[in-house]
Amino acid sequence: AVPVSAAVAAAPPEGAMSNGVYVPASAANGDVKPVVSTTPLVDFLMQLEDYTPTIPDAVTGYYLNRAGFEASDPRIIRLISLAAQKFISDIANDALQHCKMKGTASGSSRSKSKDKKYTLTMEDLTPALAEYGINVKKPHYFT
Amino acid sequence: RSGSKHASTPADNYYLARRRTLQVVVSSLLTEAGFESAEKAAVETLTEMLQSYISEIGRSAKSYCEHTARTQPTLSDIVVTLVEMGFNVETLPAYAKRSQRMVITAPPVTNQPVTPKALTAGQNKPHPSHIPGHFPEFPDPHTYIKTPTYREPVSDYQVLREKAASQRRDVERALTRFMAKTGETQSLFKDDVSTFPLIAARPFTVPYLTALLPSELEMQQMEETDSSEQDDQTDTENLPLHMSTDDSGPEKENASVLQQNSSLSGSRNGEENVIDNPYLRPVKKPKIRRKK
Repeated sequence: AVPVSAAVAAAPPEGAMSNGVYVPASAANGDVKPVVSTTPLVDFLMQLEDYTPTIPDAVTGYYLNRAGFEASDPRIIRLISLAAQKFISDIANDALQHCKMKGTASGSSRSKSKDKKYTLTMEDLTPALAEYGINVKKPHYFT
Repeated sequence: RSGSKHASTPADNYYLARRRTLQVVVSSLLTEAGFESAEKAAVETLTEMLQSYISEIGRSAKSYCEHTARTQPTLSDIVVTLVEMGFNVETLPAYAKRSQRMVITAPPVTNQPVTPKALTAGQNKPHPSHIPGHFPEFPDPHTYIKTPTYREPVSDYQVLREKAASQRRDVERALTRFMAKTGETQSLFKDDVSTFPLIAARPFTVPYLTALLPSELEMQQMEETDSSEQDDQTDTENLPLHMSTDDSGPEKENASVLQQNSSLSGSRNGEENVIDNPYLRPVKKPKIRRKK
């Protein structure tokens, strides 16, 4: 935890300090709100040992090494894998919403709720990804 | 990433194992979200996105870290990266504490294949100091060292005699053919001239002349060893004395040659004045001037 706090403490002495994040003078007026504060995350990082992310550390570490990122702290790797997981989870949830909307929009009977088996198809995934600005175009068939 | 089914290198296997793990992770996340099944294309898409997302976070965090003249990325770098990628960092702790969580086992670590003791031959060359230790070793010495071998020459008496005899026969044959092609020939068959050429026999009218006359080399040596002009004169006198007893018909140019003290080999080709064959022209030796 020493390098983490050292980086946070490296903020210049001028300007207002709130939550350990350097806030420029203009922001103190209330025009710009600091979006991120690292303090809760620092605490979170300590607790991270209890929550093992789904992606194994070795796999995340492998892809980070390929990008040139050498992790000093294994908890940093877990943080990144957690963030990536959440990214995919959010997309999956959006796709599920699309799937459910398609199911109930056609006006199926209320007695029988939409069957519990949802299949992720490209037709659901494409609009979900489009909201994130990712456009996928896959051919309908492969010859 | 190779799509072929052929044997892949250990690096490819390494890559594929991790990719498969990501696919499993994606599948588990989809199951968590509530999907029962998914299209293969959709899973592939999400896997690709997950891989590139992780790589992008790594690259971007590294860039931010290096931007501030540091080498070790810290939490702040990652937070800034996630913010730049449009990720809401505040929701992260809540997500971490969600109820249904699945853990995937990591792919097994495979060691480098070690060649068994039976196959190694000789001692591998050790690494020079400029090569790091984690590099692979040098190959076995038998792959690059070569010792030249010499074949013992054949020393069997019979084989050697045969070889000598055949060589001699070949040399004779070649020489006679050469002389037949360059000189005059007689043919055994009336019609066919070229098949079996024989060297023409032109007997000298005075066969013993060549034995009596000194060769050109001897003439030159006699010139050099004589210190007085008288010796030269006696030499030139002696020779025409011999000549006068001969039939000078075919050898008339010999006398003229002798008087000039030039080459004598014109006696061999009695009939021809000019030798047009370059191989049969006499050898021209440089004249050695004797300083008086």
